[in-house]
Amino acid sequence: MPHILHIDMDAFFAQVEMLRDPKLLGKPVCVGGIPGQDRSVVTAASYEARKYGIHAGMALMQAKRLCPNAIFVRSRGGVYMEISRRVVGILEEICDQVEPSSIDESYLDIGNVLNYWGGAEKIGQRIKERILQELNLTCSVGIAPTRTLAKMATNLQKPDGLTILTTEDIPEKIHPLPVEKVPGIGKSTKKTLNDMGVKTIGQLVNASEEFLFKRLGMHGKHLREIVSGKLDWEVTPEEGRPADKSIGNSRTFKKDTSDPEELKGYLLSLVQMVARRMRATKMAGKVVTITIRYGDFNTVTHQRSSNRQTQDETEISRIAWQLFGEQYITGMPVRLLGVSVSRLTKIDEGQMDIFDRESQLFSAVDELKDRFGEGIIQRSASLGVRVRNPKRMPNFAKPKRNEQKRSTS
Amino acid sequence: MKFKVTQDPFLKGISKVSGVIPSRTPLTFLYNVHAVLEGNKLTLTGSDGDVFLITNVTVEGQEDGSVLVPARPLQELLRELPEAEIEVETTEDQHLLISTEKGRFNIPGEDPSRYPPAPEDKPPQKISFSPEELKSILDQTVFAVSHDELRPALTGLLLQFKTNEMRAVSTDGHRLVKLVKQRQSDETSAADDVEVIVPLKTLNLLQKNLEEVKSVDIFLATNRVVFDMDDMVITSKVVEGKFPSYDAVIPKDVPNKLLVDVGPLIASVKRVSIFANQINRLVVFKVTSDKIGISAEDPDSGRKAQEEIEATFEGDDLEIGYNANYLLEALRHVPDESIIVNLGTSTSAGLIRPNETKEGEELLMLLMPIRLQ
Repeated sequence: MPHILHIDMDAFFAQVEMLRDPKLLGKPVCVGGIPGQDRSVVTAASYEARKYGIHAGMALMQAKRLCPNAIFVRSRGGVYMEISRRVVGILEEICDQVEPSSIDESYLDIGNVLNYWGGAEKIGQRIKERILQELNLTCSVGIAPTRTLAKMATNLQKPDGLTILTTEDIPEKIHPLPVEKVPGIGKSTKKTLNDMGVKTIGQLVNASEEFLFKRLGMHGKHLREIVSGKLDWEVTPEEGRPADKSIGNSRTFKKDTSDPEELKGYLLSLVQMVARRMRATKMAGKVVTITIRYGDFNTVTHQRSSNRQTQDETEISRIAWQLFGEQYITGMPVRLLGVSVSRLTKIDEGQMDIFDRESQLFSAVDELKDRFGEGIIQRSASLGVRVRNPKRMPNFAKPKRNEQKRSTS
Repeated sequence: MKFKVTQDPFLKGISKVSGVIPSRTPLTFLYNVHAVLEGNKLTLTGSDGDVFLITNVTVEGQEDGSVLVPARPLQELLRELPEAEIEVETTEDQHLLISTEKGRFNIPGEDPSRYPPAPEDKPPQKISFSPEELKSILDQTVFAVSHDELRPALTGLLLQFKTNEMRAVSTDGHRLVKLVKQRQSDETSAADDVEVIVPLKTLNLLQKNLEEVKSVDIFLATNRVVFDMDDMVITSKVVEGKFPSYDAVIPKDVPNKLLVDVGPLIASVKRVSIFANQINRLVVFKVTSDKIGISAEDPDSGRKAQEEIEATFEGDDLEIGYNANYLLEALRHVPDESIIVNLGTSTSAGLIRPNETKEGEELLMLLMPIRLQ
């Protein structure tokens, strides 16, 4: 019985950027930075950009080479985080078992609410509709008996897809796929499997357990159980929600370092990022945690409480630096540093907002803008933007309808 | 490029430009100042990618040219040099050589063609200001501009120009400032019924530079605003998006009227707020016909404070809570010694106005309360 739902926002960051700037619609857009200026990677590529072979994780310059006309924009973490929160909010109104697994993906156990909403397909449709109506974003949904299969179902139809896989569908729809389509099978496992003559998922399912164990150890055995739907993890709503429980950033260095000045610089820049996110989400916290991963992967975390709820960068820096000074084994090369702040509370509890209170007085345009469709009303009409692929962003083609609906509600 | 210049004007120019140069950016070429020499005119440009500041320094030019060098070491050096003539030239490999009577300093630069070109033409809509006027407008409004990136339209100051008046409006959702100034129509030159949202960084930059200038012309385009001040031009992106209809949220006809002196109120709120909750900074005001009781309490630490100040209030007794920081910031920007506050209920906006309004000027500050338990 398919009861695990996986949802993936389509080219999430790129879609959000398109909402903010209609000129990007239908164009190959890469979020992450400006080639030649930033030395980072593509964090999200629009579907138009993916046609050129660009994918997340690719170096900016390489993306530029693949598609010289691509539009590059810098990512704005706080904004995506806030929208991600709103997506999870919508999901939680539909089902109480929601586990956000990353900023743009969540798993839901919809077993308990299947009857209430009238079946898996209805739930999938409802989620897609609400996210489209309320946030103007499209997503892809997969529903299957296990997490892994649900995620694979999502990947079968993207963007804007809804795929339901029952146990009976699996031999026909999943087994012919190459093994690397299984989440968790990377290049090296793929190569080992291929060398063993296992090229498709069907072959993996039918391979002997002993054979897989010999070549891949427990990992091989588990893989087979996972793709056969025999091994799965529960959807755990409490887990994977670091955004609510703590706000943190970590950074793996290009080269391990033991230079105290350099480490201090990294630590303080992490604190800056954390403090910025806290300000953006209007959170204050009490407990500061630092993570040090040494070159040998030995990882230690330490935490200390501030004597007050704070979002003050100086205060967080002070504690983080103090912790680091006490815990760091001088001279040991460090691979990763992390800083997070937990025991969070909302800062302006009770502080009233001018525009919330009077929201009914505002035009639909203002309300849309508040939800992020910055300039959404102006765009198609006054800016003459053509929606090349209307299916991707259906609401752009008909903002008027949205406007009417909002103003009468 | 080769020229002679005295230390002081050169330092002034570099310092102005440094004001716009970001302290941290992944775009490392923005750490540079772009210098172009034509005859005796040395044009210096600094930018953070969104805002450009261009200023001219008169020098004794010897050979035209351009260079892109990091602003910080140049500024630091100029600051330490005595006020005497210095000689500046560039080498073929883009180094900047600075020679004084006794010293030689070498700063490696970059290829000037890497620098983004500043938009050159001036947009058509022109409005002239006296620097004092613009400065007073900014002083009264900029503090309420939002820092919240999730509400981009609020991250700048709205300037609206109508036939006989100009309006400056800022808000962060918790407070709002609206300043209306009467203007002679010929003052607004070519601009009627235009508006622009000027980003916070540009506002701060203007505030820093307005002291020393004699005239300000503002040029407006849909996506750009240019401030032309004597020998300095600031060209800035504007905040895109629609500013909320602020007039709709300003309550009309609020009958309750509180008259209070600003100085004693600030002093009292400062003292009491030491005891306020660290997070919401809640200070409670109990307003009666002849006084205000000001109190705060932090349940976490058990600290409490209470004070009374004199005031005149026409209306029913009222208890209302404000974030002390928001209130203090508003009070510090009122250009008068006493204020009139219109209060509705404990959950509606408070309206603060100076007791005596300047002629041709109408200032209104709106402050949203904190809901009391």
